[in-house]
Formats: sequence, C-alpha cells, structure tokens
Amino acid sequence: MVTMHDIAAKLADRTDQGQIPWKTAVGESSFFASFGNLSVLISSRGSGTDSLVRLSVLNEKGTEIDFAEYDGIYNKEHQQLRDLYQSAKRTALNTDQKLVELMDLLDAMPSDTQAQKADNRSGHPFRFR
Amino acid sequence: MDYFLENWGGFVGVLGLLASVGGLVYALLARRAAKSAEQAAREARQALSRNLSSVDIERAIELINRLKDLHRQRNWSHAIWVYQILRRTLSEIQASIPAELRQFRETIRDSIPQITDMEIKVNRSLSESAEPEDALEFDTTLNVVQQELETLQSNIMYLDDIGGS
Repeated sequence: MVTMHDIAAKLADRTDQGQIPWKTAVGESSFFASFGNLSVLISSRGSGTDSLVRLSVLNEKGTEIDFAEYDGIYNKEHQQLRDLYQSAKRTALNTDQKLVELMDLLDAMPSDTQAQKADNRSGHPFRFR
Repeated sequence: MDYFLENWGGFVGVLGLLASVGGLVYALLARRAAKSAEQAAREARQALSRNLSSVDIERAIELINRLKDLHRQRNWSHAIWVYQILRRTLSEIQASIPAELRQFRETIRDSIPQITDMEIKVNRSLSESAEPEDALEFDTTLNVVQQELETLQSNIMYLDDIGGS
C-alpha cells in the first residue's frame, strides 16, 4: 500500500530534480501541483519546528482523498514535510532564479573603493549618499 | 440484329464500363453522405458540449459571487458548503470544455485545488474559532477564477456564433 509518507518522499525527490510544476495557491502560503486529474496541495502555518504542515492529495473534484499533517511534535515525517514545503515554495516563487538576479544586481554595483576613485577623478570633494 | 450478334462482346464491355462508373459514382455519393452525417453528429456533440459548459459557467460565476458575499459577512460555516459545490461545478466545466478551447482545461483544473485550499483553511479556523488564514486573499483568488470563466464563456459564445453562421 502506498502511504502519504511514500508520496511525500517521491514528491521531494521529483521536486529536487525540478520536475514538479509547483504553483502558488491562496496567499502564497500554500502550493499545489497537478498531475492529470489529481493534485497535491501543501500548506504551512507558523515557522520553524512549531510549524503545522499539511500535504493533501485531491481528486478531480478537489476533494481531499488523503492527507498527512504534522504540527509541533518534531519527528522525521514532520521534517520531511517541512523540507518538501520549502522546496515547493522555492519552485513556485522561482526563488533560485530571483536570488541569481539579486546577486547579479549586487555584483553590478560599484564597490566603495571603486566609487571613491570615480569621485576623486571627477573632482567632487563630497559623495552624496 | 446481325450487327448486335456479331459485336455483342463489345456491347457487354460498354455495359460493364457503365455499371462500373455508376457504382463508383454511387460509392462516392454514399461516402459524402456518410461524411456529412458524421460531421453533423460531431457538430451537434460540440454544440451540446458548449451549451453544457456555458450553463455551468454561469452557475460557477453565481457561486463565486455568493462566496464573495459570504466572505464579506464572515459567514464561514455557510461558505464551506459553497466551496464544495463550486469545486464540483468547476470539475464539470473542465470535463466539458470543447476541444477547440482545450487551453482553458489547465487553468480551470488549476483553480480547483485553490478552492480546496480555502476550504481547508476555513475548516481549520472553524475548529479553532479564529479567522481563516489568508482570508484577505480569498477574493483575489476568486476574482482570477471568475475572470478565467468569463473569458472561457466569451470564447464559447464566439464559437457558437461562427458555428451558427
């Protein structure tokens, strides 16, 4: 019999391989992915080890046909769902790409010494911040 | 008569040729008739599918507007029931979207888990006697779904127009 633990492990594996098209659900605190007529939905409330994480499997009518939910009691399954939630969130919000963009923008900024040299060359005695 | 008796083979050949041409014309006409019957049946099925979708779309939009009212009134216990009906209606719409508009199947399918998400959050809040998490975002999500449905509906009406003309 396939358990929700098996589903979570497979989803985590496929998410790490970039194969799951996670999308934001309501309020960017929940994420879902569809496979044919079935969907999975993962949501989290709170943060850290106190967070409540729920993974649901939905049928074509959106009825929750099975779910796993873990709250503050820390164990391996809770950690697995928390990790899956974070991976789903990173995929849906395109976090990795955004971080690369941010790093490129930061790299493109002149460093303090470069800016000072540029100021000296232009003859301005003061720098405006 | 003598001429006929001497050349009967030729007459038989001509008759055979005429019979072959006649048979070919008959086969072509029969094939055309079968094709037009098949096309008519396909068009009737598509029109029926569009009609079913259109009625369900109107119903789904009504349910969405009802939900927005319930959200404003914070009538969460009633909203729970409407989410379920809306999910089922969206599922029926998704299943009956005509082939020409298959690009809407994914967007309608994707709206269903979002309604379930609201339902789960409201269910949890009712058990905790608190406001649902992300309640302020519910109507934003519903507006997006409504907009998709309205676009789908106008596409179906357009298909009906060009189908009827």
